[in-house]
Amino acid sequence: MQTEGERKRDKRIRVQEIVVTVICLALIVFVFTWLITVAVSGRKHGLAANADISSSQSDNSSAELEDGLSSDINEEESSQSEDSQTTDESEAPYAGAADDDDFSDACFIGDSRTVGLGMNCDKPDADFYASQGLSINKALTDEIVTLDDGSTGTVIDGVSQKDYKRIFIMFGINEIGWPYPDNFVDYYIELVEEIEQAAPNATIYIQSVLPVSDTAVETNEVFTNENVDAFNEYVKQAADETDTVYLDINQYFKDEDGSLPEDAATDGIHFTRDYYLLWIDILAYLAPS
Amino acid sequence: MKENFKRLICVFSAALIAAVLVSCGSDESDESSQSNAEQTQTDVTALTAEEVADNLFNGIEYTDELNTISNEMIEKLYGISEDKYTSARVYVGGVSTAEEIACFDAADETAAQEIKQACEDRISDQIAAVEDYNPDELVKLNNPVLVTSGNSVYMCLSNDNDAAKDILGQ
Repeated sequence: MQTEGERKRDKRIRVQEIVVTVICLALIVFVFTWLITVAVSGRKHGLAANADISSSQSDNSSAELEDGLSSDINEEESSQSEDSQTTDESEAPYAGAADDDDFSDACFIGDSRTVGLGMNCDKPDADFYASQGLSINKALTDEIVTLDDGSTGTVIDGVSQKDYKRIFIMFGINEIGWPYPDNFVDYYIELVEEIEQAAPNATIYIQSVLPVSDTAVETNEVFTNENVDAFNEYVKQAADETDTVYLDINQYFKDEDGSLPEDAATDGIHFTRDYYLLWIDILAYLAPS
Repeated sequence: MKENFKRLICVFSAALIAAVLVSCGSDESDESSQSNAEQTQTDVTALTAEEVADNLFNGIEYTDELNTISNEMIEKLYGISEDKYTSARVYVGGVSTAEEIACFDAADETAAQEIKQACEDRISDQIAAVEDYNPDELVKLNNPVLVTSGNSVYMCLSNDNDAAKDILGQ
């Protein structure tokens, strides 16, 4: 005969057993469901990760090359004729222009964008007197050139080493934020005059500042295409006042929105390989040896 | 009978939980290295410099778009002529970062020393180039992966030195 207390205890024990059993069964169901979910989604995740790696690093793919160049070619065509039709890159007059031009008679002077051109345009016989962050007011004084004798010197020291026939200059992207752009023109004129003395047989080409993509604003708010276009008026003024050739190459790199395409520069300013190759093609086309 | 059934359920649950915990642990430890170096965990001495460079390129995620350059451009950038190596591959970016890969199988021990010195000079030049203009890149340049293995020299400037060392078997 059980007492009232024993009955209550037995009842409590049965309730506890039921609760534990239910929890265990729920746990088993949860674990099985979780394992099945992980097995399925985990496999999918692995495939997606591999796809990301291959797509982000297939930078030499012909698809990207064709996409990039075709957009530029469309820009070129539309600037030449309003009746232009969609075409492929082989029809652009500058396509492949650099293939037969080793630029061995040329040197390039400028900032980081020119450094990038030198590293990526595959012209080992050309000379690049350029440095990251070099601005027009330092171009005559900063010793950024490794000379043939192993010493360092200025841009003018570099230009003096050889009888160049073509000298390409580009400055401006580092100077866009200057409060007094007239100073930029004065420095540019001074640089050109010094180069003319050092290389009397060379034709000097002053290139317009290249456009930027929307990403560039994240680096600095001054990096907009409105500012680039406005600043190019000062670049053109420097060319006019020194009777040098002004190459308005900026227009070749703009998309339909007037910006540099996003795929043209990982940081919005410095080009990727395909666009450096486009740049050298355009120079070979506009300023042949 | 009923008690045995309950005991069996409890034991089975405990075993399942233990199995899940063990599998989670092994997944986490694998993930970090698997994504970067799974396909490249090979003895680099059995690979050519070109293959090692490709492994560094494919096994690490880079910010910039890297591309190979010609042997003539290798000589221009590094000052290393073709007679100094039997195999070489260099990847460069578009200057937005300091990321770069350079791998060489030197022709002999002396050439290997020259190539290593050339890589060190390249790093020094890059430090001078970015220290005012893009100082964030100094992290890569001040802590480069530059490894000599026999007559081979491997340099990798990236955001993931651990992955680069894994690939190089360091």
